[in-house]
Amino acid sequence: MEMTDHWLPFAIVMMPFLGFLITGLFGRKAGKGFSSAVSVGAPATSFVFVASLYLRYLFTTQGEWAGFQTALGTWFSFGSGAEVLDIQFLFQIDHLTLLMCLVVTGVGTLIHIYSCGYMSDVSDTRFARFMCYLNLFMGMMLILVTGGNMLILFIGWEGVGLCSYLLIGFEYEEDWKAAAGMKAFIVNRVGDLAFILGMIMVVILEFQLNGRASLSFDVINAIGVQAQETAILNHDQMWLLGAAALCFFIGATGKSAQIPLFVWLPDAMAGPTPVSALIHAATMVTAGIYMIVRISAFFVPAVFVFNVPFTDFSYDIAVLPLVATVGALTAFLAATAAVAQTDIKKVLAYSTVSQLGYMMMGVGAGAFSAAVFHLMTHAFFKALLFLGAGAVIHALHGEQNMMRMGGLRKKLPVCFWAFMLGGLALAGFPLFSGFFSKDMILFGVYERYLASDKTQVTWLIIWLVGLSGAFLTAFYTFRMLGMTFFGKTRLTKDEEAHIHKPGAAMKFPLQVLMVFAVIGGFVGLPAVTPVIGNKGNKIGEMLSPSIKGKMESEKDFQIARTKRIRAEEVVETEEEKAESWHDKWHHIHHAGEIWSMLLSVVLVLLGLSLGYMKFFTKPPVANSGGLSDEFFRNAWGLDLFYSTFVGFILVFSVWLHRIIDVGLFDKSLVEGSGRLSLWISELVTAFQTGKVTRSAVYIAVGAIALLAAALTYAV
Amino acid sequence: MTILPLLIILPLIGAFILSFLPRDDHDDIRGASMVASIVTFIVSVVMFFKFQTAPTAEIPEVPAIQFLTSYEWMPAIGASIKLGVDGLSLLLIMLTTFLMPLTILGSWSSVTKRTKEFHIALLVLEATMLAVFCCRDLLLFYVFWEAMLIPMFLMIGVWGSENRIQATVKFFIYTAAGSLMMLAAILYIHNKVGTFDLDVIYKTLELSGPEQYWLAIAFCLAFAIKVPLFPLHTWLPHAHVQAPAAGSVQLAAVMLKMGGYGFLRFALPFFPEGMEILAPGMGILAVIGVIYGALMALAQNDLKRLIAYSSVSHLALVVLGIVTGTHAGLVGAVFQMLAHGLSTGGLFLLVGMLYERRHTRELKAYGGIAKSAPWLTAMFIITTMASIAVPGTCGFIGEFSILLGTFQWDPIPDPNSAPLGRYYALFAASGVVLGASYMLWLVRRVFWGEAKGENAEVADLNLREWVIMTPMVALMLGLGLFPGPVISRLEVALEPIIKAMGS
Repeated sequence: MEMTDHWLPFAIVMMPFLGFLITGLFGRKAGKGFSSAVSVGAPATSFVFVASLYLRYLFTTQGEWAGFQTALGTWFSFGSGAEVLDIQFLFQIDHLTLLMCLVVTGVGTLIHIYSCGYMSDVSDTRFARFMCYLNLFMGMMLILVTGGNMLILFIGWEGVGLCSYLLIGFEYEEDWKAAAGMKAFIVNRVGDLAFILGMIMVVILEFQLNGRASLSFDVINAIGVQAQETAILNHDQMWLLGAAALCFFIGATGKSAQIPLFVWLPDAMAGPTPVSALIHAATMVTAGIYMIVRISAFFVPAVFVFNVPFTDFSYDIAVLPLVATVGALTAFLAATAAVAQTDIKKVLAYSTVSQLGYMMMGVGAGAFSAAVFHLMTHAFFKALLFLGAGAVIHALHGEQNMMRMGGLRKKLPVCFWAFMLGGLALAGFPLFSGFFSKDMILFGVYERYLASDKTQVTWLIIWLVGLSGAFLTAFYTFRMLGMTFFGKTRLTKDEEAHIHKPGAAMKFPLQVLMVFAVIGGFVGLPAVTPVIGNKGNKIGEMLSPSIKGKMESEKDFQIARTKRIRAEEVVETEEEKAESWHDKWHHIHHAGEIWSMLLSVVLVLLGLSLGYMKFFTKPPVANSGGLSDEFFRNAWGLDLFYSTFVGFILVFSVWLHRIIDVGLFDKSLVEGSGRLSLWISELVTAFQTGKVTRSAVYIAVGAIALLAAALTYAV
Repeated sequence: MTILPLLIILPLIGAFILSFLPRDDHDDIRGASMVASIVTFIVSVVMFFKFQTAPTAEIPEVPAIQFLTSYEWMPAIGASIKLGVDGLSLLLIMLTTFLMPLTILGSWSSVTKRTKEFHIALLVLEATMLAVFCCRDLLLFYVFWEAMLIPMFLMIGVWGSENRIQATVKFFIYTAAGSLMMLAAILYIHNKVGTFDLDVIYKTLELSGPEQYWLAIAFCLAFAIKVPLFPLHTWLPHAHVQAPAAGSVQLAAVMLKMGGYGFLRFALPFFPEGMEILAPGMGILAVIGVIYGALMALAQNDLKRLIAYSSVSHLALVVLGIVTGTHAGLVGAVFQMLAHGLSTGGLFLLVGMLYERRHTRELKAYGGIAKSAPWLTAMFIITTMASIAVPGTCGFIGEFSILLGTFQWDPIPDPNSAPLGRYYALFAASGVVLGASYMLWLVRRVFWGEAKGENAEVADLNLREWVIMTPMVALMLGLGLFPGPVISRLEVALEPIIKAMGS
């Protein structure tokens, strides 16, 4: 570890913030050229720093580059004795962060360049505002991935949420766009609420175990390893661990758009298309996956014990299998929704939700590096697809409805190739980038099934759901491609004449991303690759030092869980002990991987040919508007459910204000007590007539009463 | 050391000088009042840095209470003019003196009638509020506690909006009624101890269980009304809606903090056992307050009323942190008090600016302001972020610490079950979502959308408003990113409170 490295994380993070300040303060006066130069230069400089680190990693002997951490002082700390909270401004760059930084700054810089072309026809003020928001986003995203503890990560986590809010509602004049931004922030806040509670539980765990809480990833992972290996945690501490992991996962369902919180992402397409590419496809939405991989060791032993209130019943919910289940369901649900969309950006939005579901599935299956691998390839091909879609929308002056497109292949060749290559990568066509990463995830799930001696059918079901999602993905990809670029054009003559071809600033990023979308997968070749075998998985090799979570076999897991949660001993027979999971490993590995891969290739080809037959030659059929169409188009109606709920809350709050707050508390109780005292005083006033005779009577009555009282007590 | 009397007298001197100025020279009056408040602020800054946090060669043990000053007042009944500050007082004093010049600047062009009286009222208000934070004598404290109502009563009643009289009367009677219970309790304590000297009371006060319980109720009632805690909050929306911008700022930013201050300074250390009995119930009221205040804010169509209810929600969280009695809860509560002072003070200042431009508080009349006033919008959004506790702004640390303290808290210890405080924390945390909902909806209704009519020609921030908002925003971010100096000062102050509760 060299001392000279220590300013680097700081510099990498600070560059975009600098760009944000300069563009934000001076951009509107200084013009577009200035804004473009500064706002593209800032992330590009960060990229150069990151790239230099990557080169250093590449050229040091394997295993020697260990990354580094920098603490820039204390953020906040309090407490004494065995309860000291000490949160540092801790930044770290290890292998995982390095990869994330490469993706974020690399794809980010390309999208910045693209934006300069895409936003070229707005005013200087708007342009500067747009670019400075993008820079702010880059800064926050880099804080998120370089942060060394949960709270620094959380600064970035909420910071990117803020930028997402500002950028979705960038064209704030249109109320529905402002509303979409607001929705994104609030839905994410539901996840953040859980995230905060999760952090609090970890702090309490750290207090109990170490007497000092720093929330740093190292410590959190160490707690997970302790829980997994030595089982020194007591019952309540295991509960806290499970609950905290569940909370973090709920946080991830917000940011990474999983069931039940994915509803904001389709609406987020209200933002300009470069925003959708950068924030809502390539970087921000993957934060949830990154976070779970970051503290993977904490997730591995996590079991949430749900005690049903007022009863003795309790359910054990193992968190990682839950993550995989939710991921698979999301992947499938969003794919069915993508099939039913006619808005080109909505297809891509649901496709993103679906692909994030795959990543979650991989994370849940313990295939952490596979999930990060898919995160990377997805960043390439989905950014490519979004930028391509943006170029089409730009060319057609804002048209997003695919029913109005068709036959654009000849008119917009660059966009066509962007879509074609990106689409094949998304569909998982053999040898394209998405093929390798998706299959690594699917095999990771299948592997869990095999590792459980084929007893855990859940994993088989998750695997099958994932495979059917792959079929749907291939189908909607070619549906989109056919509707947009093939067949006869459905534009009017006038519109056709005014097609606005993308300029150099927009073409260049497309071309770079095309290359990566095609070849990006070769860094993670499967173990069954002839000749090189295991050595082909460069990305797994690179990430392995950063991934602390080590899966145990299903059987070990069950036994350990029973021990920890139920405090019961499990008797293991000698044979069971001898034949460990690792011995079986090699037998099952190869055959399973080939099977999984073959099956998915067949399904992908099936989906592609179906899409080809239905949409490449024939004009698309308009939605029948039937119930099933609407059901899928609205992503199974979850959003409708939420908006009903929110509507209810609003009506309820108005009622509560009118009846309870004003009616009961203010008017009845508070002002009522005032009226009561007035009434009493009036009552008393009635006696004060000022007439001497009346007063004499009162005195006489009073005197008699007093006398009577005195006599009573005296006797 | 006579810095504390100086601090309290400076605004009064300002008010005295103001009374000799000709009543038509509005700018001279404003200027003089500005100078007085700035000088006060400078004195408080000197005090902040002179306040000892680490042991030195001469004074090896850091005293909790510093700048002690004592004058004879009524020795026959054991009352004296005894002033002194600990970290808690110090920080609230800083908040008060920091906000006063900005408040004066904020009302520069909006108050044009009876300017002289207005500024005198403001300065007297400052003096009385500062005195409340400095008192180390129970009777003196009570005198200033009631005295500060008078300038506020006048500000709402004279410079307020259409229904000002009703609002100001409600405000005055409601808070004064609560305080009378406290007066009775103060006299009871005096009967027991024979003095009003706070430090003597801390050492010698010994109360039986029932005594603690009833006296705690009397004190808590006064403070709960001031905070205000659900369901004693209904005076607040009226007062805020009717008060002039300056009044709202002072009310929200400083005056409401008196409640929290009172809990920490008196109720907790005087009656630890009584508070322990009351805590579970007050905690429930606080949790209800967090959710209820937020729901109320969602239902509002009036800018100021919405922010008033958001205060109810935020300050309920402060009460929750205090009643937990945990270290994290108390630190968080004080931090949240400061953060709320900045963020809500900032919101009321910004609302004042909007009101000056559009002369309405109706949310329906707004929309699309972002187009014509982008910097005003930017300031409002930053302040909103501080208010909804985005990490990196001042709001987050307080909220996080309070929730942490609540999660650790066990109001009714039972070895067979998990601490009940976890449920409190779970429900209180819903403020995270609800707060974002009402604030962002407010932003959407005021700033986003298409600008129609007058909204299209709203002027952006002028120089004076830049001068107001820049330090506000800087402090919101500064306190959020570098809270160290604040936390270290208040931890020293909280130590004796926690110790008293443990015994």
